[in-house]
Order: sequence, then structure tokens, then C-alpha cells
Amino acid sequence: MMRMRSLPVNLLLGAALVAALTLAALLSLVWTPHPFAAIDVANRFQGPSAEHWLGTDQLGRDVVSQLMAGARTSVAIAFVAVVLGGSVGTALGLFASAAGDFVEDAVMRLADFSFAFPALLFAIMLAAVFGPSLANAVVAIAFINVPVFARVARAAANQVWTREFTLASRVAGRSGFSITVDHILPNVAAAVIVQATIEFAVAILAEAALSYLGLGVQPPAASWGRMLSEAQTLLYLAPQLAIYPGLCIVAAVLGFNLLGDGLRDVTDPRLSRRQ
Amino acid sequence: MLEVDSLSVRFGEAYAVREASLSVAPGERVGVVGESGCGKSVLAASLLGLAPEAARVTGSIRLGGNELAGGPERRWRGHRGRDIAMVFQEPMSALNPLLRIGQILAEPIVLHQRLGRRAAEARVLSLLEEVGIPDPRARLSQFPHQLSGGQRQRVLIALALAADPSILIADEPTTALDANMAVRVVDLLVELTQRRGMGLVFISHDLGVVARATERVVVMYGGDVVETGPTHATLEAPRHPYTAGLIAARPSIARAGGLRTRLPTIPGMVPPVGRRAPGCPFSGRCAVELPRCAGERPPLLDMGEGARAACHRLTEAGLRDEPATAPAPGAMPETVG
Repeated sequence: MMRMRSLPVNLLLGAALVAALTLAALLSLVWTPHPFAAIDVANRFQGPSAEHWLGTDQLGRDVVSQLMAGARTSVAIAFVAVVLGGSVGTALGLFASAAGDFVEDAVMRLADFSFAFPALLFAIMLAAVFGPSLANAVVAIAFINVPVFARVARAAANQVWTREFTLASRVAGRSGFSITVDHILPNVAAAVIVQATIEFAVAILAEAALSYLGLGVQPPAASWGRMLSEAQTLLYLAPQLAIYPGLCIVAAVLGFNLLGDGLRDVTDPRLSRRQ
Repeated sequence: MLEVDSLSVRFGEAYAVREASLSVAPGERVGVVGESGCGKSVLAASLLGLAPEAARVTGSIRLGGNELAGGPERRWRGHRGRDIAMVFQEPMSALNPLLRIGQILAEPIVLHQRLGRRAAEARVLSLLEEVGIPDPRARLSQFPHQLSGGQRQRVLIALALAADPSILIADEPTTALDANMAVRVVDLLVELTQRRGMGLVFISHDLGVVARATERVVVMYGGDVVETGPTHATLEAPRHPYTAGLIAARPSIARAGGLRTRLPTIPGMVPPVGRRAPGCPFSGRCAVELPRCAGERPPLLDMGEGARAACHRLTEAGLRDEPATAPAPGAMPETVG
């Protein structure tokens, strides 16, 4: 009960936004008010009505349906990319921490190196070489995540290695890598999960940026980024077409950031004491 | 059987342990005493092949006839837990807070004895019973923070015993406990070594606890073994001025003069590794120092009855059989234990 009462506001607000986003994405799999890609040129540029809650776009497509399908794209890409990049990065960080010495230095310098490389530039390069596609967008966003997770996991793991139970485990005759799996990983999980939540926000933003540039998902699949780019030329005629996906991106990014901050406040006792 | 012969641990040019020799027979209990920074813990870590990576370990460590010193990590790993195990000082940090007691204790059993889940659990239960934890079945699913300090220390002992080691190293196992609990944990260790015929290396700075726990004692100072011998004889009639000083510095309610007398201390501090005299490490703090002490290292002399001591005064005529005097006048050591 104590814990429930002291849950921070940012955690609750973030969780609510993320829950709404996830629900919309899941719901779009089975139901949208209209088929999201259905073109109805006769009814284009309509304002909000009972039929079209947020109106229609320049091709007469229902905006609400497109936003819901766009949420699905965002969440799916962000999820796969963060899980992929997060697993590889966390594994690298734990490996570096367990190996120590020059192996650790080599892995971390490599992470620094890829960190210094502009992520979007890398994505554009991938698209230029392999052609724009959903898979390439996922790979590019996952790649951005690898060094971030490597750093977080390695820093947290190094801290766990200083605790005596790791030594006790070595005294029992275990190797560094088997201790990593059983003792280090559970103790760094909190830090990694917090980071994953924040990286979700980054991934959603990256997906929107790639789609805006035409390097992400291809039509007819819906994406907030592409909705933005299509609305750009019509900004004076129908500004709401740019505002809706923009607000969605803001809400999703804000939601994940608040959730991540809130989770960190809860899981890191040193931070939560401040309140 | 653990045999350590002229073991040195060096950090660059500086010694943390210098030519220490030690042997522990099955069922034998050996204490290692000395104040902080004298090399006890580095010695203990070296016995497990866990000296810091920067350290250079030379000399011989034989475990059941196998030479382990300087061996590869993989060879050490095969012996750790099974042949030589360790009880740690801080039970809270030596137990992973995220694992249940049952999981923690099953780790070495599964690793070394390759038992199934059911058999491992039975083994964990009998271990918990052996170290005197009440209601062992209920403990299996508890986390370390749910146990009391004494129980956690018992779990640590059970953890060290899990793979039936022949040598147990206990590094200050009673520091985190109150005096009453310390005595009970010491008695438990004594009982376990006797029942299992296991050798015990008991590291401590607490002479009272060492007197209760061990049969032989090794006194270390500044990385050197300065005196060794049967525990009671050594603590009653120390030959080395450092041992005498340690004994004199024990607080005691029964001490003549009551609470108003000041506790005798050994003046000065342990010289840090790297700033030690080439001769006797105690020179500079010793009350009965001779001119040659700082430059010439005293050999570990055989004093008969298994006792050995390293002090130049012992080679001076007429001083050989006389116990060393404590540095503070009027504070002769009383019977310990």
C-alpha cells in the first residue's frame, strides 16, 4: 500500500499515455472507424463529423483510422527495434563487463564510435544501399540502440561485480560468464528496462523521421511521419492534417519519457528519496 | 590438506604478503590474526586463486597434493567450492538479494555434484539443518533480507559447505555479528570442522574469537608471518613484541584499575604496502627495537613445540626463553579465551 501511494505522478501519466497508444494500436488490428487506406475523393478535406471524427485528408481517407494504423506502425517498429538493439547491446555490455581488461575497452570504444555516427545518416545510408523498406528502418533504429544499451548494461554490471556475492559465486567455482547469466543479469534488469522505455520514445521519433523522409514504411501502410510529409504541401489549406499526427508523436514520445523517468524514480532508491 | 610454502604476493616492487608458509591438516583449525592491512585478506584471496589481477603470486600452494599456485583460472575453478571454500565477512552483500535462499544454496550443488532439482533440494535442506537454521523448509523460498544477521551468516556457512570442501577459509566471519552470535557461529564452525574432518583457516583480528576457534595461530604483520604456534601457548606467552602488543591492546572489564585506565595501544600505524622497511616489518613501532631491526630481516626461528617466531631479540643470549614484554608498561597480557 505504501508503494501504491508514493507512485510518482510522471509514472502514472506516462503509463496512461502509453496504455492509450498501445490500445489504439491493438484496436487498429481488428477495428478502425473506416478502412484506413480507403480513398474517397468525393469526400476529401472534410471537417470533423459523426461520420469522420477528425475529418478526411486530401484523398478522402479517414484521419482517425489513419492515426490508429499509424500508431500500430510506430509501436511495432519501435518494439522490434528496441528489443533487437536492446538485447544485442545489453549482451555486449555484460560481455564487456565480465571479460574486463582490453576486451572491455575494445567493446566500449566500438560503442563510442558507433555512438558518434549520426543515426539518421546511417538510416539514410542503409536506405540508399538496400532501398527504403520497413525492415531497413527497423535495422537502422535497432543499430542506434546497440551502443546505448551496451553502455547502460556495462555500467550497471560493473557496479554489481563489486558486490561480494559475485566473489562468493567465483569461490563456488563458477566462471565469469555463468555468473553473468545468473547473478549480474537480474541485478541490471531494472536499469535496462528503464532505458528501454526511454529508447522506445527515441525509436518512435526515429521511425517518424524516417517515414517523413520516405525511408520508412511504404504506402499504403500508414505512418505518422508520412502523414506529416503529405500534409506539408497542404499546410495553408488544411493545417489540421499536420497537427493531428504531430500531436500523436508528441503524446507518444512524452508518454514513454514520463514512464521511463517514473520507473527510474521507483527502481532507483537514491533518486526516489529526494521527494 | 593445504600446504602453503613461502607464498609471496607482490604489487610491483611492494609486498602485500612476504614468504608466508602455512599448513592445514584435515580437521585442523588454524587462525590467522593481525590488524587491518597486514595481509590477511590478500593471503586468503591468494589461497583461492583470487588475488587482484595486478598482483604477482609466487611460491607454492598445494591442495591435496596438487600444485595450484600460478595455475590457470580454469584449473582453480575446478577446485574452488569443491576442495576449498570460503565464508565471507558480510552476509548481506555476499548473498544475491534477488535470489531465494533455496536458489542460492543450490548453485554450488548443481555445479559440482550434478544433482537433479529434487535431489539438490533435499541436499539444501540437510545443509540448512546442519548449520542450525530452524524450519529449513520455510527458508527455501525466502530472500536474504528476510533472515536475521545470524541466520544469514549460517546460510553463508551452508553455502561454503555445499560442495563438501576439505578446506574452509573463514574471512572475519564474525565481524558483522554481535558478541553472543559471534560465539555461536564460532562454535558452529568448530563443530562442523570436527564432524566433517575439514581443515579450517580462520582469519580474524579478534584474539578472543581466534582463541575459541583455533588450535594453531599464525600472527601476521606488514605482510610477514611474525609468529606461529599452538593458539593457547602463543597467546599466553607471546614471543614476538607485536603479538604481545596485540594481546595487551584487548579491552577487558577485569583489567586491574577498572575503567579509568587507558587501553594500551601500539603506537603508530601499519606501514602501507610499498613503504615497509627491508628488515622486520614491525621496526619503527616496536618498543624493544634493536639497531639492526630496520635493515635486517629476522628469520622465523624454531622455538620448539611447534612454535616459531621472527624477532632479533630471540637470538640475543638470555632472551630466548623469556616471553616478550608488551610495549606499554604495566599492561602484561592476561589469560585469553
